Amino acid sequence: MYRIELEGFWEKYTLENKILFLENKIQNKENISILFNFEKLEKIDSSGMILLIKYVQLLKTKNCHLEFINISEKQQNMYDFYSLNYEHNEKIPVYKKNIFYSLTHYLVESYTSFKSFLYFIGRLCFYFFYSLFQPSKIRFKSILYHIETAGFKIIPIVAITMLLISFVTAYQGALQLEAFGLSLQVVEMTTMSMFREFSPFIAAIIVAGRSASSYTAQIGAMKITDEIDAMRTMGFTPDIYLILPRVFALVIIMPLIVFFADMVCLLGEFLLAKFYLSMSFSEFMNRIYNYVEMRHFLLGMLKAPLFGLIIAIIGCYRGFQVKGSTDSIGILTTKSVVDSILWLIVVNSIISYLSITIGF
Amino acid sequence: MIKVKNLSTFFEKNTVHENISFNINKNEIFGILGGSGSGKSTLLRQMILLEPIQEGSIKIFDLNIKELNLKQKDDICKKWSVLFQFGALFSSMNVIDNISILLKEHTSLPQDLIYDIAYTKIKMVGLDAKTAHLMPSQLSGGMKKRVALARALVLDPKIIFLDEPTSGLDPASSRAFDELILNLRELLNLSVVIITHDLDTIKNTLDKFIILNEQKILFNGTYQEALNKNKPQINKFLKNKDTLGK
Repeated sequence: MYRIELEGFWEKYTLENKILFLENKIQNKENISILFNFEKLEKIDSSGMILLIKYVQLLKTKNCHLEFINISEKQQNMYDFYSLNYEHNEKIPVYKKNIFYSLTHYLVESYTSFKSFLYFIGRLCFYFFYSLFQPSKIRFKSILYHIETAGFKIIPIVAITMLLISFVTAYQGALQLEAFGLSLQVVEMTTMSMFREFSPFIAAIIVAGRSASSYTAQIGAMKITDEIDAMRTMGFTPDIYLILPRVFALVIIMPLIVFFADMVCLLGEFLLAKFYLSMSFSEFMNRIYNYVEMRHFLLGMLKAPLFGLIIAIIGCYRGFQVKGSTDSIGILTTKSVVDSILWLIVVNSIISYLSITIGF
Repeated sequence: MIKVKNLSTFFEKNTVHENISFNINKNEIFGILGGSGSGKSTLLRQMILLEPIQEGSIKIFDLNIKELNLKQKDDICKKWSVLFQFGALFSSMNVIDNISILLKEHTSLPQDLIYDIAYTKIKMVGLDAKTAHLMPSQLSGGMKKRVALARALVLDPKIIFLDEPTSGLDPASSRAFDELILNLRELLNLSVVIITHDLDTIKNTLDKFIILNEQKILFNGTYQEALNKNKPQINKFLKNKDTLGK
């Protein structure tokens, strides 16, 4: 008869040395009787009991006969209760994914995601025309609210960014052109590039960073808390109540933001022209009036609503993709900002190229 | 074990509690009853340090919980656990990780023993081992609650606070839950504080309970004492509508 004396405290915070103790005691023990003496056991908690049960089960598989002595009624109850519920599970092995799996998985994922995006756009178009024919369905208050949050609060940051960018660009240009004795040309050159490319694009990036992320997070949180399902059951279509107001708001406000950005750009350039090139205000305005054609300004203004549309649609689409856990809000918010900036760049480049080829 | 003394709580103009006092003894299953908005949850949240105590005091393990230092707060949090009404599982972890995270953080046990403990606790609350690798978003409301209970029990707390543990469970599971609580109380010397509306739980499980009504404690005592009082205000917490008249 082999005896194992259980001593002291078997509690989770000090259990590691008990594991060593048991390991040592039961090494190479097979087909024998083992006596567990509980006499000196002061206290045992559930973790300790489960540890004991683990080894008891192990010994039983090795044909050992086990006996407990001096076990208190309470400890016996505990033992019975936990051994009834004891469950040992091998850790589920993690399968390594091979590259073909990852690749095909990625392709299928992209395909389904593209399909669901098309579906999203289609549904949005349907509700867009639907609300055009039923103007009472358009949520004007909501549109105004989103115009305010997405448009007006952004003014200071747009002002600072555009002022600095136009100033710095003009300064660099003036320095370069000075070598050719053309430094005055910098005014119309910078203005053209600002009107055509920089101010709509940079304004759009700022809006994307602010609004695309907040749309995804708002809609995603509503989805997790079942608010969107609740809306559906009440007959409020989320497309009309949540998406269209945001889309309308950005489409309306983006040209205004771009116009504001254009004006700030002019201010930045004028500051440079005044202090570096000693140009007067009327001279500055004359140059712009004479050399910068209207089409440059118009191109920037025409791009703006398109950019607003891209940002709002991507922000809302990603919001509706949120599922299950709070993790996915974070992931999709990141995705919505990255995607919207990526698509802004792509669309902007295409427009740039086309406009040059057709000479606009 | 828990002593609440002259506790008063105000939210802006509303008085939630006015000068309430009661004691919870060791190894007792104590119920907090009351209509909606009677401040049950606020009281519970004050006990577990989630809401500030405005007037009066709450003592747990003979410590005034208003004046704990960081170390004491840490220690006291290991000695109690809370089952929130909707489980409050960590949504980024699967079931088994939700349960074993406490052991991983607070102890230095080997991984396989931690998983054995976690699996045992899962089985103990009546769940299948297959659920262990599901995410919380894949579970039903009742399952979430059981996982949350398993998580609450994993460190063998001295006190366990349960916020409506049987709401959303089917009757059979509710009874099994009550039995489990009674069983655990015997095994682990547990003290239990329950917010509940479940008539069967009130009748069969609770040792003592208080009923909160209009900022005061309307009743404090056992089920039998409550029946003996035979007041309509108390009875509505004890009986079904159809048995009220009898």
